[in-house]
Amino acid sequence: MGVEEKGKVPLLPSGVPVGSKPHATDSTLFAQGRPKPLSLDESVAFIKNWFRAQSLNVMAYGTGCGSIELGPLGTSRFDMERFGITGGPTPRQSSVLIISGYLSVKTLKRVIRSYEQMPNPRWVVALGSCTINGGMYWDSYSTIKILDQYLPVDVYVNGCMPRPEALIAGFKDLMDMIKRGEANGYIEYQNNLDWYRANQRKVIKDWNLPEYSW
Amino acid sequence: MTIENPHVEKETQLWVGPQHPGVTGNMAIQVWLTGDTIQRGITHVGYLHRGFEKLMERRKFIQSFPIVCRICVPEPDTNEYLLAASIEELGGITIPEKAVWLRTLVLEMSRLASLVQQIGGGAGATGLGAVPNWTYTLRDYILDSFEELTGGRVYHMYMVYGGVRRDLPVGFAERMEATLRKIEERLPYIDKVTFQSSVWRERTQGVGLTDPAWVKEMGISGPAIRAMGFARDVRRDFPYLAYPELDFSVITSTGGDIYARMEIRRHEVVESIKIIRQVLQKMPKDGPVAAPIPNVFTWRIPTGQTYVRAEASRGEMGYYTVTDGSDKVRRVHVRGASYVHGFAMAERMFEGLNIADLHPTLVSIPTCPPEMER
Amino acid sequence: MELLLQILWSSIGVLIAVAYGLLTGGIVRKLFARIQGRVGPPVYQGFIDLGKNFFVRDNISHGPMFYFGPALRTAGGVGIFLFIPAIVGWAPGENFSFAGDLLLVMYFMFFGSLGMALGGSAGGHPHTPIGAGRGLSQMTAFEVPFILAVIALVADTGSFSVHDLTLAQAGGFLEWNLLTHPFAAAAAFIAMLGMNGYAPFNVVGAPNEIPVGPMTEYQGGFIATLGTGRAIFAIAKMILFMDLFLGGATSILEAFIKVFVIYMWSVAVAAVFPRYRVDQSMRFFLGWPALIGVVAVLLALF
Repeated sequence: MGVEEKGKVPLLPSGVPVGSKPHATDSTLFAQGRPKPLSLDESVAFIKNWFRAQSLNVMAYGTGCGSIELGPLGTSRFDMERFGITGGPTPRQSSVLIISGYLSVKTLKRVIRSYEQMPNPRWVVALGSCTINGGMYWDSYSTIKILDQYLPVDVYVNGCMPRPEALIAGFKDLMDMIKRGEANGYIEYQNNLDWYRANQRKVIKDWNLPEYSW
Repeated sequence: MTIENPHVEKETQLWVGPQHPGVTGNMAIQVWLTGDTIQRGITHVGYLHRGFEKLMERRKFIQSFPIVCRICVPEPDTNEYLLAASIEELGGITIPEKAVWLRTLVLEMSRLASLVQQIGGGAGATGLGAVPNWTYTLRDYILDSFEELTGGRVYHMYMVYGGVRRDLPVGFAERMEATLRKIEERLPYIDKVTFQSSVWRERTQGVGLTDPAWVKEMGISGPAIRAMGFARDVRRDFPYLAYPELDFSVITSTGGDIYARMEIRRHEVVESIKIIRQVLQKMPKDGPVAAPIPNVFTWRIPTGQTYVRAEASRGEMGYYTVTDGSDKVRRVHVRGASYVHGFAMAERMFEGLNIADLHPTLVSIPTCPPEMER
Repeated sequence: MELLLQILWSSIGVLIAVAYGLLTGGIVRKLFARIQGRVGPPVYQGFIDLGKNFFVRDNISHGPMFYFGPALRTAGGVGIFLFIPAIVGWAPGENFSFAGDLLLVMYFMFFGSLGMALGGSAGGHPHTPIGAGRGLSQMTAFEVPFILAVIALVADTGSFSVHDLTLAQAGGFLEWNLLTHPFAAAAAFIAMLGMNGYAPFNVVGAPNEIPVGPMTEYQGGFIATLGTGRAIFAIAKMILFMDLFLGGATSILEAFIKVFVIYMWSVAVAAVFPRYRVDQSMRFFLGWPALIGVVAVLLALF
């Protein structure tokens, strides 16, 4: 735990380097026992997650270049409403926040505020290489480089900018993760709020956000 | 920054943006309302600032190409052309004739895509859901042509120093013609629900007016100034590329309101289609597409400065470039049309505007936030 | 006993109305999508949205008044539904219709919007008072032609009971008020455009002006309640119009079809029109529609 020194690969609170996923070991490839019926809690969680996955509201916040492809995605060529994905006009009524590319520090402050106003469960989809390591703005003085240090990202969609098809594939992945109960970035954010806050305060110089703004 | 407001107890302060479905991008407008009427408005930018001009000073000439097209997302090719043209002028490179025509084609295609999108945006701003759906699809067909020609959907990086990257694919002209015909077929439908609709006319006519006296010295350009009766167009006033050989007219109107600006855009779509047809027809069939340039890793350009301008869909764009004999530019200043539109023009238009007309006015000017902030 | 049975039947009726309202909402979304050249969401998307909103974990409240918005909105819809006969001449479908129900229903129409203005303002967002102000002023305007049309019908029939007004139209579609009182019908159906809140009169929650207006601060369960309320409110209003102008319904199927047809009238208008400003909207309703209403009243009186 704690903010890593400069030059090292930043670690997530769980001690795993950013961007790496635990590899499947051999034991996970085989059944460990007989299949069991779902318990009541699991069934309720399954139903809840199914409903949540089938109705996503994307917050209307074009944070960067990538928002130009949200137009074609929402309109008749690619039509994301087919999958139950609609726009959420306010943070209160949204469940997905799309960080469309690079994020300047000034926007980061607004994004944090908006993210914290969204009701749980909420998910973050990050587009492009700019959100992973800064991309072509690696030496820019006004953008953040690794988004995962400031907000918990559930799905990355690569490309600059990602094509609408790629975005749809990303949303499909997000839906599958929600249905499996794996898209838990918002829980991680709540559990490790101190770590995220420390990172956020490091880049946002004029910090005047409330400590707990949701 | 604190903003002094003497009438604080009589007015409602409202932030429109940056998280708001009604702003043209990641920007914010702080307005003070009395009832439904806006008393004052201030444009806040900086949410998209990446420091392009500074980043270019640290990159070699060829390395600047991938970043300049990000300056304006809906219409990236103007930026590519302006950077290429200014560096070529300073470095003393002449591009072959075929490249001149190909550059004209790409510039006009991106202008067309942007204009079509702006028509949809203007209609969508007044709550008309169908037109943005149609026009985004039309824009997508143009993007398909771009993809075929350049390999990129939104960002093309098609122009390089000395010319362009490759020639037209076989049969491109026919497919482009089919796309143009699709746009022409859709235009009457758009006319019917917008320009001929009494509700839309009532909503847009006489709204978003400004005084024509000061717009010239403020540097307003594009449809915003042509809607006030000034026939200003960089393509005609300061001809570049193949535009002197093309036959097109500069559309003007005298209304000066949202309706006039949108109408100009609608007629410019027709003009743009005409230009693309002419370019495809008059383009030389053979010839090199790029002139040889020095080794890009060691290319040094002697001291010099230049200002190159081009007409984008929003108005005049220009690059003021200074080189000092090194392998990087000394200074680049990007003159984006949206900058003066978003600050000087919009802030004056906000005064006395109904809050419902804020978004249509902003879309019709138009403003492109990444270009305002670079 | 009879009362208990009626309560049971009416509760089932409310559930059916909610389900049908959600389904109709899905069809409307699909229809808009097709006009715009899209595939559109599945028709059952309304049910999924409702379930999802109920399963949102956090519900941020802004004090006790905040709960009144969704509660009064839903109460308004349920109130209209309960006090007008959905199916005339069939006891379970008559609901709690009584002699003066038309007056009560007119009151319930205001009820929901007032509740939204009250509850939404507790949220404190500046969009709320603007949206509520717009909604209430537009409602005042479209009530004028609607009430004039109702007065014309009442003056002609001599009863304030929706039941009696419906029975007076018995005997084939030639007896419908739509054909016998064309001016009243015209005024009322134009007023319905404003009542349903589709374009060009969707000034309350105008998406890119004051996104979702009074509902800005609502989320999760509140939105789900509001969605339920909106579904039943839409259906109840259509039932009222069906009873007043299209001769009511004698079977469930007939009610479904007539309600759907009336609903499609405002949808067909909405698909191709932009949005009015609220002052233009008020000027519209107080112009020709109000005049048509006056003509209808004069025709009924003399």
